[in-house]
Amino acid sequence: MDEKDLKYGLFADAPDLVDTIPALGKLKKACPAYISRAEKAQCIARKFAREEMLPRVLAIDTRCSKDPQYVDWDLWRKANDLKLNIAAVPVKMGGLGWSALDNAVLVEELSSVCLANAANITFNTFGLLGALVECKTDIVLNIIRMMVDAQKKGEPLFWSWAITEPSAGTDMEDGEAMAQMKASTSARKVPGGYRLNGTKCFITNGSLAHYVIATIPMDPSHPKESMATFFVPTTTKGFSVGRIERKCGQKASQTAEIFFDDVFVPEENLWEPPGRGLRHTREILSITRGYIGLCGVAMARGALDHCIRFANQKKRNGHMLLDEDWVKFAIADMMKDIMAVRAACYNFAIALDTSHIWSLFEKLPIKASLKILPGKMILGDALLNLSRLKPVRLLGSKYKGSIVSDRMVEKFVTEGSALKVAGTDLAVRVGSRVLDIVGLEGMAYDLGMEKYFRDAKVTQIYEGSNQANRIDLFHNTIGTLR
Amino acid sequence: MQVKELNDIINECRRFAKNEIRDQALEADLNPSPETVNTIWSKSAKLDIPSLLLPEIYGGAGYPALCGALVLDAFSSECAGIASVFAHHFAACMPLIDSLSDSCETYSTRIARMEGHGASPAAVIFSEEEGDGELVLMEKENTLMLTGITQPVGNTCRGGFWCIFANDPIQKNGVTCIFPDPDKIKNAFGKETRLPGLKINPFRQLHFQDFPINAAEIIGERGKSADLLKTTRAAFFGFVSAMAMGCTRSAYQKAFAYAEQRYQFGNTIIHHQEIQRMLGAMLMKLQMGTAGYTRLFSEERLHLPCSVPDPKLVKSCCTDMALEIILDAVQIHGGYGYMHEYGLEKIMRDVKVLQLLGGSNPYHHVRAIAEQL
Repeated sequence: MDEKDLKYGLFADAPDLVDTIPALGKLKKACPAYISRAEKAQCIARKFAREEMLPRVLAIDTRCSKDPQYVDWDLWRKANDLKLNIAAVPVKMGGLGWSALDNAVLVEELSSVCLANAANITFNTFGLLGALVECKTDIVLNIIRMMVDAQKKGEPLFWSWAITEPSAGTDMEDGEAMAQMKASTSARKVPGGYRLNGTKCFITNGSLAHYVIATIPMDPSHPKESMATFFVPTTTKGFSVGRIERKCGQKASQTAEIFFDDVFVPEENLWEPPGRGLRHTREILSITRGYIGLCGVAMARGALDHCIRFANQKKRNGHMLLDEDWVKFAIADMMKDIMAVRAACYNFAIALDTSHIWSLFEKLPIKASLKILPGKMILGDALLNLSRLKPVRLLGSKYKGSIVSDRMVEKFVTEGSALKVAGTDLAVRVGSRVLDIVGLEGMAYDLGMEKYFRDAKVTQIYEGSNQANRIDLFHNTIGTLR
Repeated sequence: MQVKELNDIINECRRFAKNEIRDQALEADLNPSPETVNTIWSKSAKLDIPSLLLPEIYGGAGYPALCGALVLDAFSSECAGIASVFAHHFAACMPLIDSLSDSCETYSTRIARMEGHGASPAAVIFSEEEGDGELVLMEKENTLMLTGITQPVGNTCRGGFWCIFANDPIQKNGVTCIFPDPDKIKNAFGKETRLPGLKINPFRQLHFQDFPINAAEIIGERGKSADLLKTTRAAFFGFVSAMAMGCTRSAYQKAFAYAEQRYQFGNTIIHHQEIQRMLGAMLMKLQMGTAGYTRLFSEERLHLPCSVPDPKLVKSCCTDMALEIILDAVQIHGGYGYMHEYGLEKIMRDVKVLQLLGGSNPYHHVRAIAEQL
């Protein structure tokens, strides 16, 4: 950077969370600790994004173009050292205790530099989120313990969420569609557990995963009624990884085909019984879709921040490109969209803290336990053994169910779908439009702007295509009135 | 030229593209190699494509620029990167078509016979008006010198002729067309601009600092090539439009075929109304874009206000619509559209580069009005 650099957005010296989302200022007065922690999260995340990620994302992208299996483990370790991959785990258990809002800040800052590398770090939350759906106490404690242990040892622990099948993408995420889907996987009951067969495709981190959370029907002729969720260690006999896809963008995030060849899953690893698989998926979507919307906003923001910096240094027609009227209008137009969708995404994150799964950590029994019990005991064997008792398991499940109802899940799916479409459409639009401003010269690979365009497109496709998200949005609102 | 003759050329070129380009396209994108272009270029010479637009008296085929555009449309339906090599070459040939000077004869004959530098694709450079990208021809110590840094240009490293339009202060709004010695040009090469699309065609900026130009290297009269520039640029915009339509023609056909076989929501997706709407909108843009660029090359003009196509606006419209088409084509393919082997994401990257080729579209909109003031 030289003296002509504008200190704006990603390149600003000071964190700007409250400045750029004024509603948080009001909230800060009511809940100072809540917002202060988010501001601190922004400091940490932006520093990491700018100092650790930014200098190397293009090199990683280039390397992954040649070798889709490449992972920059050094970058991952730096994130691990900061506990960014277990940020949502309570402090007492060894994590950062970051709220949904703090995690939104983390996701935004990292994605504004590179969503693929951000995914390698933050998608670790999948394991925890998956366990929290049914919230069986032993499963939750065990998952957290594994995450924390791996973090302490500096060892990677990846989770994949295996939903998409070669002949069923959107069909796996919508009830009406699932009822008519053509399944590529199936499970059957055997003594002591289940046997899984079939193929899943486009699985994020499928090639790196230590554990896979797979949604598979017991009866492919009645997929919706028999859809179940299984927890599968990838070391299990019969599990294998196929092709790692060669993608247009987001190359640092591996997308793989995975195979189940008579994979045995013991009874206790059935996370959702037949008929509840879709509900499990919907609850995960109720959280992740909003975050993907924010990822889209973040990419738009990152692309625009780069574009502004370039336009401020590039001479056109006797003045700087940034002084061209049409450029000013275009930038302002993109800024207003980013500001609007970003504010809505943060509103969503705060709602997750208030009403969704994160609110669990604020409930008296959980809060008191975390406060009273010594840290070692919380994740110790004694408590884990206690949590395995059937009444305790069921209590955890029931208690969580009283907080996150089916109705609330669908409400968050609705909100999340709106944000997912708004944010990811914006990412593609801004990713393309900034290139119109900077021209062929600014499109050069080394300047990093074309990467945003390549990375953005898939966000309109995964986590339910934007068409599927629109269907959800309509059905869950207008559809319910007819 | 008769429609039948044009259709014969289209069919011949589509056959050539299918047989010679299709199987190379994805590999050329992943591992661009000059050999790929050289092989296709040599084979295309058997169909007289490199000399397609050059005058018959110099050994060319003597076809009109529309014909060149249709060839590019056909080639782009298999690989816009390969087509772009031909597009730059065709544009570089434009100044040789109308002028009957000795130098034009020399360059045309060499291209037609595939001799020396004429055996490789030619390249073209348009100077910007002012600021970055401006090239200026000035006299220093009795020698003509070219100075300036170009925008990234295609067909670098090919070894063919160079057609350069430079601003020339010898007169107001003066422009000079130069065909410098290709061997000297290499000294001006900057590093390759790694663009996301058209990867088989390496783009780079050229840095000219007091680059000597001989009087013999000038085409036509010094400072008086503004009209030649206008014609050449107009043709280039038409060629870019044709490429944009060609590659999205292919994307539309792929999306239609995929929608016919992809099952989702209880039916093949082509039966879903929203997919029909998307495909219909794609078809509309494809038809209008094709009509727009073919009309650009037509000499018939209606006396209707705003009915004469401005080449830069045709390019702007065609490439903008092409991007919309390909984004929807990828979307219809879902995850498969984003994967390399399906070829859709390559078209998306190619189209984004086409959108910026010859200047960005919003700026063309500004210029279209500013020029009228």
